[in-house]
Amino acid sequence: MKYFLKYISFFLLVLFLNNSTVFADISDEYEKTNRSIHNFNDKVDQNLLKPTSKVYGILPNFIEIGISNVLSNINEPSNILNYLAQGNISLATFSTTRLFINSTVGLIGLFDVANYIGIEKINTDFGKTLKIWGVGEGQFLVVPFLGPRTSRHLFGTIVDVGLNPVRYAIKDEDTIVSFSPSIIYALSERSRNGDTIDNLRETSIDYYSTLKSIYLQSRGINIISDFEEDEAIFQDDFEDFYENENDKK
Amino acid sequence: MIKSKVFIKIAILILIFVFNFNPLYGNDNETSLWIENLGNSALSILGNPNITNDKKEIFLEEIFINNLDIKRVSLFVLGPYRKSLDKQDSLKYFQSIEDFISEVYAKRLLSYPSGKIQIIKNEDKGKRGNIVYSLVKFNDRPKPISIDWWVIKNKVGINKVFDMRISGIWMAQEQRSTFTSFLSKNNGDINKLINRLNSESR
Repeated sequence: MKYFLKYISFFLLVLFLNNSTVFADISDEYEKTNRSIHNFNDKVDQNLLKPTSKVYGILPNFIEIGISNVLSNINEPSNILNYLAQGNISLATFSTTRLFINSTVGLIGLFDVANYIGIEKINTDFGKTLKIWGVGEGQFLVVPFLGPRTSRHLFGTIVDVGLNPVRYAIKDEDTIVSFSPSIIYALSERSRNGDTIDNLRETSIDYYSTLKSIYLQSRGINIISDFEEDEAIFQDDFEDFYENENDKK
Repeated sequence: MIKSKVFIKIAILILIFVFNFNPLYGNDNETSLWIENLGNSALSILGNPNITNDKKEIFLEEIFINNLDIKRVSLFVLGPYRKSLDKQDSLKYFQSIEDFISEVYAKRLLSYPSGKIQIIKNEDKGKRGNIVYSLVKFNDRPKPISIDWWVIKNKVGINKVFDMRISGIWMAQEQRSTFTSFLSKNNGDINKLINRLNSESR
């Protein structure tokens, strides 16, 4: 634990000092390597997760939902810690209430009773805590088995694992592009989002870019900076596009 | 006394103008209603047990072709490469992308069951149109999903959908990342993109 804390302190110091790396806009400088790792992850998904998740999908719906709820409940302590670190007392209280209700009335999280009474789950992680602390996104990376991550998110994941190793042994993010190290959770998610993942894969002309865009949007990162360069898209009427463009020329 | 009567009349006129004749207020309601009808049309197709999946896909494609601002989306997804599009390529490109986009959007929607749409709010974005926020409660899923609709009126005042955000993901923005990435790898060659789009759609 001592070494872990020392390592984290050192890493944080580097993150805050090395502005050129961390505070830069999100970029894909390692695209070639990222694409190779993406292909590897995709092969694992297609050859291992997809067929196994189909077997898992045979389970009745209520069992699948129950497993998903238990895994989700285990994540709650990590949410509470991160909300406290973000200074968000109301959401920390919210998560604590969810944990209490679901662990007791909800039978160790098997039933999401809190959701039924209007206390819906709102996930957070250390990557988001770092964002609130002012740390920039850094580089876009694709990590084996984990999927897309920005440098900040990856570092946040390392801290989250250190804070709650049990959680990461069986639970990762609630996103279809995340590739969990946990077989139980990965199967649960693959089964739940199976059609969506297959659909995206089939209908995309560049699956890597599709997943990258979905990941960045799901993390609230603006890919297009406030549409400034695209203002004309909203000003013009494109019914007579050819004429307009030719006139301009 | 006369002055106060005039003042009251003017105040009433101003109030009537603000609450009844504000064109934006009227537009908001009309756009929301339009989205509600559009969403219900799509959901009724998804929930019809007498229609095969292939036919559902064709019906949904029709809905997209009629209600999406295809030309605006087509140009938006090209990003900076839009400027290099000439007239000859434009004609081929618009035809290919109309087939591609309507087919992709329809296929993605096909993975959802029937449900009910509920309009949450309508945000006026000025010249950029309106964003209508909605929740869709699907019949066999415990949690509703959020679908937001970016609506822009064309020059004759007809509503068209520019983008849809399903569970936090804007679809046209996602397509734009993919298209620009493809073009940057192919030296901005729009014909290679057209060939690719044609090979992807039926």
